[in-house]
Amino acid sequence: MNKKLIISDLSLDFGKDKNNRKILSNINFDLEESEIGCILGPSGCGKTSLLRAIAGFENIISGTILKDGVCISNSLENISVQNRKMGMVFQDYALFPNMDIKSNIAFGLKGMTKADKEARVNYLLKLVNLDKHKDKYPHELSGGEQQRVALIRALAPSPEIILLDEPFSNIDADIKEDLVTDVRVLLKELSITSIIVTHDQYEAFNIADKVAIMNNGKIEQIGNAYDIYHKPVNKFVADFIGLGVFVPIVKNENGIFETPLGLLDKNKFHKDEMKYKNLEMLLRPDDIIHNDESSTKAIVIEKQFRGAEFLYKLLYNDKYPLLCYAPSHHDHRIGESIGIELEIEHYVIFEK
Amino acid sequence: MVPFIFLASSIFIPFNDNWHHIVENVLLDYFVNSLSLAIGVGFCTFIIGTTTAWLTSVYDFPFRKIISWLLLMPLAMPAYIIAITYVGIIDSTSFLPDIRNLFGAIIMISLVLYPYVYILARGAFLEQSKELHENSQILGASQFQIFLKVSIPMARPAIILGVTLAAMEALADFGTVEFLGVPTFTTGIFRTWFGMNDTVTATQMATLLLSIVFIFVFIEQQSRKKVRYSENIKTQSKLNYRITSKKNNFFIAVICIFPIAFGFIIPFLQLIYWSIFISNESWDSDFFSIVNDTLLLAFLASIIITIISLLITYIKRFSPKSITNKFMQIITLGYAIPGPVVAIAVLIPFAALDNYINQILVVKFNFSLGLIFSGTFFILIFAYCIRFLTVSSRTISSGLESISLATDDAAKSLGASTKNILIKIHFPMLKTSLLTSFLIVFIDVMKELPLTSILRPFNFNTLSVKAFELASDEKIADASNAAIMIVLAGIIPVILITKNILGKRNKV
Repeated sequence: MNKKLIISDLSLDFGKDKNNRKILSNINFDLEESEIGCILGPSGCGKTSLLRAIAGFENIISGTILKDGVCISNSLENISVQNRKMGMVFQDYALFPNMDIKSNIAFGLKGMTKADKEARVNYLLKLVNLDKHKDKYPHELSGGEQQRVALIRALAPSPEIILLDEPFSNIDADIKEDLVTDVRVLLKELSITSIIVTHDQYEAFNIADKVAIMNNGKIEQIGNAYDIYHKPVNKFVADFIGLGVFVPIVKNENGIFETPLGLLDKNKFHKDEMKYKNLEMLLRPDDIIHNDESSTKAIVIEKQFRGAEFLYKLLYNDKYPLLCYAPSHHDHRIGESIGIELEIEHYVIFEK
Repeated sequence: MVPFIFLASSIFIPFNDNWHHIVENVLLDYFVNSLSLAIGVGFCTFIIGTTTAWLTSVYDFPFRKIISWLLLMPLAMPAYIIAITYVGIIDSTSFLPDIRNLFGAIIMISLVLYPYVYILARGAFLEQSKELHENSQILGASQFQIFLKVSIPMARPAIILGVTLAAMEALADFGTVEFLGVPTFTTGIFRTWFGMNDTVTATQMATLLLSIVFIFVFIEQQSRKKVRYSENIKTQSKLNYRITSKKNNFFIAVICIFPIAFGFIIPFLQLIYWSIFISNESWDSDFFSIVNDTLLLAFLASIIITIISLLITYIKRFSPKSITNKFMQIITLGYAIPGPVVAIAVLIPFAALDNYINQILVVKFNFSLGLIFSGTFFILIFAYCIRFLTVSSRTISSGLESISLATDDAAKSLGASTKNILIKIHFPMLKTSLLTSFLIVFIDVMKELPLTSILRPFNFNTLSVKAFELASDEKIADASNAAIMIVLAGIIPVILITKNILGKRNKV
């Protein structure tokens, strides 16, 4: 087995919770060497607790964490934080305010000569283009710069795994996109195994090789961005990721499945899906095409201008809300009735 | 803790004749006077403190910066010294009203305690968001309406905290009321004990006073919690606008200078005048040996207290739920307990312990050690600990709280041991708070009067005791040398506090 990190059946709680609920239960997750994993979930789902358990700050109550096939945590023993060879970037960066940037970065360097330490610090600073700031103090840097310092401080002792807790949450939106890409490039260049915790799906999709969707202390789905968006395994994931609406599916007297918008192709169904009676289908905005010629009409109730396209919120048949992207030269008024048609690549169907 | 169990147990000792005498004749007076003093001081400090805080945080007027700093100066002046000075001034003129009464005591104490309210209220005003004030203006509120309806209600927890602190200090005051001849609980306890030699009744009175004090402690702790809540609300931008109105500029400056003049400048100049022209006391070796003793005592006490506080604060950080921590919370209530009460509370058990040890020694070895605890520096410093541990541990714990727990985690994840975290991160970041704690206790011990005068070893004198003795012997002018030393020392923490506030502002 050449997995870098394997988490199996991990559970965690903080003693007496009001509802006797576990913070984390039955978590299974693994990463290959130099893979970037992401734990994505709404706030309070337990994702930071999972990260802290991996780092060694929390003691788990059951399950195991293996690093390179060696157990670092189980219900009986925990290798101390200091001996796990993991680096961590904290949400508020936790830079030491009493030290300048170069001392912050050098803090974790042990058993090196002074010259070696200095070289390492300079190398890292150059990597993130901060070499001119090395004598400054943390409070003199901008949020983005502090974040990069926190990142290279964690990378300095060459950890085997790096953990990032909401690393981009304090970054302004306009520079975030570039920074996310930069960080991914950097992590890949250093080919370090990484885990990122975030609540922002675009961040997750842009940085990670593998995304785990978490909710209420459980992992709902693990996969790459494409699969999670197009093949969500349950309603929570479908709802949480991307935009979409659900429409009911009924089986008519001829045994054919249909939605209020039209008939469905039986061949695109999974076999087991057809067994159930009450089904519903996820419709993403890109599943509904705007076509002025179409005889199927829906009424525009809201619209958002997004530059190249409009996101229309429509009402079909007075009761079914739908979402639809249309090129932005198709500018329709609110209240107007416009033609639409279904064009679905994959069916995403759940039992109601 | 043990001392106060002794105190509380005194309730179970049958009340004697003195108690009945006191209850029938003077207890009501004590009660009314102590309470009026606390409430009166609370009211006056509220008026002076919030007004000056508001004016200096919202208006721009000539010398505003220096005035807002000088407004803290009266803190350097112990209440008994300002009372001594004003009595001296009034005695030398014929037209000023006498202040040797309750009203005088309220004014004297308020003049030096209003900075408590001023600091806290000003801090709260400055934290209030600019948007909020601008919004109120757009909605048509006048400056005065904003003050009454927006700023004061929002700063209420901070203001209540300041007022309660001042009221508690007034309740605990001994020197001022003793000197001005206002019979209160503290002086009553002192008199019952040393005048009537009735320890039991004195103890019972102390217990009664203590229960009143705890009511104030409760209010104080409640408002402290609220202050914390309100500070948690993050504001986009801090209040930093200034109103300039040429018409009122002069008037506003004068209002702000009033408390500085009466609370500091006039009495200080008077002390200097006495010291130079009138005092018979010379700056001789006797005087310097007292200075020496005072500094030594203050130094010892502040080192010990700072170290204990550091330990307490660490227990709190690393095991917030432990029993020790709960116990510590009780211990640190000491600042609220009036000096004479603390003195009684420590003297009784230690005297008993001394007696017991000596009895055993005499029986077994036919030899006596004399007083081991009572009448030595040990008991004095022990009493200071009870009294000043709170101030010190609050200073240090606020320093420690500013180091986020994530910082510890970050250091751990970078492989630092607990020892390394303490040496490389906590200590450098705590240096200022440790120094502040040391200095605050140092100055407090220098100023302290009743504890020192009751518990000091034989033939040992401090500046405050000396000044008070001379003043009580009608040698007011002679007390000026010692008083000046105390006031000068008291200026140091004021400067520290100011620097602290300014430092915080700069970071923002």
